[in-house]
Amino acid sequence: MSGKNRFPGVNSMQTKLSAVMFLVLLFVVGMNLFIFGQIHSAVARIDAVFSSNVTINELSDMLDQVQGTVYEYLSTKSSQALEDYYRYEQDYRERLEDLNDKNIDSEIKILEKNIRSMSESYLEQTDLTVQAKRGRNVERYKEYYEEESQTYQYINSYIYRLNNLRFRRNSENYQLLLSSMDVLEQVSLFIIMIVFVVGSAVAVILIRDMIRPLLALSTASSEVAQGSLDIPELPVVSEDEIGVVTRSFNQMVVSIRENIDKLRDSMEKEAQMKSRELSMEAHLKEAQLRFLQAQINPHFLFNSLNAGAQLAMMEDADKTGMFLEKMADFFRYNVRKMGSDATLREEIEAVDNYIYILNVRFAGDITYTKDVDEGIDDIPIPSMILQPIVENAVQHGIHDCMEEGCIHLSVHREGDELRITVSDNGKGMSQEMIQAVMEGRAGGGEENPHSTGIAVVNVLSRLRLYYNRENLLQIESGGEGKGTQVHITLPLEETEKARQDGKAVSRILDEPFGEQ
Amino acid sequence: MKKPTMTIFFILAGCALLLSGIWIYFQKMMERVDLAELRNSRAYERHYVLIADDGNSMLWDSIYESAVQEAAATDACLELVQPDDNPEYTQEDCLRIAIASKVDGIILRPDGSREMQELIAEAADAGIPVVMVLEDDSSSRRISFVGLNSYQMGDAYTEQVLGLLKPGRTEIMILADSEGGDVDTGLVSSYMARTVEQRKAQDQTVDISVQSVDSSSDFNAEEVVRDIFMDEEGLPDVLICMDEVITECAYQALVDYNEVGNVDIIGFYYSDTILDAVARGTVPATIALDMAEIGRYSVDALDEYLSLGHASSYYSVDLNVITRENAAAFAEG
Repeated sequence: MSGKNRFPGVNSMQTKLSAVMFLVLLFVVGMNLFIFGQIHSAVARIDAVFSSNVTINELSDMLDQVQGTVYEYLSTKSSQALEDYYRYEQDYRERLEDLNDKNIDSEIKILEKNIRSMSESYLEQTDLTVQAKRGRNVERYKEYYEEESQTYQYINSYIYRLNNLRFRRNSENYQLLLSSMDVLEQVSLFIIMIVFVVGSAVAVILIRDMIRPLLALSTASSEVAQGSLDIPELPVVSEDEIGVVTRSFNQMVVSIRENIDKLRDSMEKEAQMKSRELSMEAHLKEAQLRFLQAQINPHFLFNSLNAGAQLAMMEDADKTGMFLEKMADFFRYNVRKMGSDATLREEIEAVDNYIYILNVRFAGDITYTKDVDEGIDDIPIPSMILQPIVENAVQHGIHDCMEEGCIHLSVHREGDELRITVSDNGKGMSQEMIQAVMEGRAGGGEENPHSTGIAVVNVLSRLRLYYNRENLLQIESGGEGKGTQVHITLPLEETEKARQDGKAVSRILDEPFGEQ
Repeated sequence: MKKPTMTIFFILAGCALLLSGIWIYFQKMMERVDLAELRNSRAYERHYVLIADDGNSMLWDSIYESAVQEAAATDACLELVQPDDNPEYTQEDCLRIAIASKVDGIILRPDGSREMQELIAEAADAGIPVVMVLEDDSSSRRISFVGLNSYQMGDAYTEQVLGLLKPGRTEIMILADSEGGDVDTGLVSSYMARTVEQRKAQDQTVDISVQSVDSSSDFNAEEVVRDIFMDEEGLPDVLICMDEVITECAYQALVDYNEVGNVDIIGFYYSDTILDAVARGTVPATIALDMAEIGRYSVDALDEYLSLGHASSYYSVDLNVITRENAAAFAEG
């Protein structure tokens, strides 16, 4: 237990418990002292009762000694006897001082007074006797001795009477005290029981009073632990440790309640924002798709293209067949992969198909080169990322000089990143244009009639959504006529995670058009 | 105040009350043990001794009762010395003890002995005044006598005797305690003889005799009285008892020997038995001194002597004749 009071100015539990212990102990000790005091005074009384008899007996013995030494002196006239006589006489005189010498109308007291007076007379007579003996006055000392002996008899009989009287009185007193002791014994037993009952009761009452707020606190704590924060504020009963803990507990509950409310608000807001964002995107996609559908029914288109390709095969028009097949593949990929993950290989194939189609369209004017690292074909990436970039490069970069136009695609793995660069040697872009494209302000977005429908801004936003990161796409250009490089940096370690999220997103996006 | 605090307060208050009760109870118990023997007692300036020669009689009780009150009023305590206290001691021994005890005053009934006269003289030398009651020994150095003189006594008895005289011869016997002094008895009898002779009828003859009873030894009075009753020839017509014990013995013998009606007893003082006998007419009369006055006057005499250096040598007290008519009043108190 700490010796210091950590709660200055308040009654700590230590003080209170000590006070309870002290109170109970004080009570027990007080009761014991009371019993002890009563027993002590009763015993002292019993002791005192017979002491008076002892005193009288001593007096009688001393008287005998005086008388004995007088007789001895008279018989032998020895100086030793005389010396003894004076000593005993002195002792006897001193002892007489203890006897009553007042005229009190109590039988015992008046007896005492008579004994005292007679003893004084007796001692006067013994003195006369001894004087006469010393003076060798034989007749006188015999006479005096007779008188003195008679008085000695009287005193002895009075002492005997006094002793009897005292003994009788003391016996009565003793009986009285004995009965008091019996009562005291029973009373003591009763008091001990009272001490037990009252001591326990006081301890239980005080401790229960002290513990009650602790019990309330414990009940409230278990309610809170079970998740019920809707509890009434606990009253602070006492300014001790429990009081401090109770107050802190109340504050804690209030704080938790506030925090939960705040969290709930922010979560609600976030959820609202997210759902709005998602619904906006979904609407956008839906609009795009419906726009595409309005232009052409892709299934019908690539089925027709397949049919055309088979027809061309049957007619041995291999080039036409090849063309139609690539067309079909391009559109199939376009339709199927819209919104779902693809592998890097699939993305590159889509670009290959697109360039092949363009080259058929524009009589093989576009020079297309690619530089792809080995072993990275199966890396998953969001679909329809590369083709729109390449399409942009064709549409805006080299559209006006198709015969010199050159598109280069490079895909490298650098550490944890996949770096994709689409470069062209077209007319290039000014910084303002780059800025406008990056911010989605540049024209030729969704409404561009030449586009396959997916603009850079769309790619940008999908990358951001997919990887939850900014600056994954950068556009570089030396300026007018100096070509454009589009760099896409994809973090590989997040690909897996992003793929999961992306799937969830694409599921939302896929649902309305799943089986068209 | 909070509820638990109140509860504890009441519990502790209850305990305190209980303890107080127990304490008070034990204090009372302890107070009953009177170690100092001072309960209901007080100190006085003087100490007198009343030496009774007959411990059991109502006579001494009456004297002591009034004397002790009077003594208390004059700031003195009165010690009653009875033969019962020291059976082996004579009245003279008691007197010696009183002198050795240096008391302030002594009250006694003298037995007329020379030894007692010497002791009274010794007391007087020691400055202790001695007052005599009931009987007087004027030759001693006592300071006062409280009682009736022989003439008054003789007169009182004679009045009763005259009423009991029969036609012809009447034998009267006076039973006197020899310790009480033969002189007094002689005076009473001679006064009675003279007065009766003067006032009796012509045809009446009165024969007065005196019988001494030595009541100093135990049971002697009883034997003497029985002897009188056994001798039918010598049984008197009127028996005059000059002592309380003798009166009682005579009455008992009267009843035992079936002599009621044949012998008339004139008693001295009274006991319950005598009063009963008087009320029933078995005993015609008993002469009673006012013992309360004796007690009171004897203490007054001592007080006066000690205060003033002298006291009246004779205090006369009232005399009551108890007959059938007034016996009930004495029985009551």
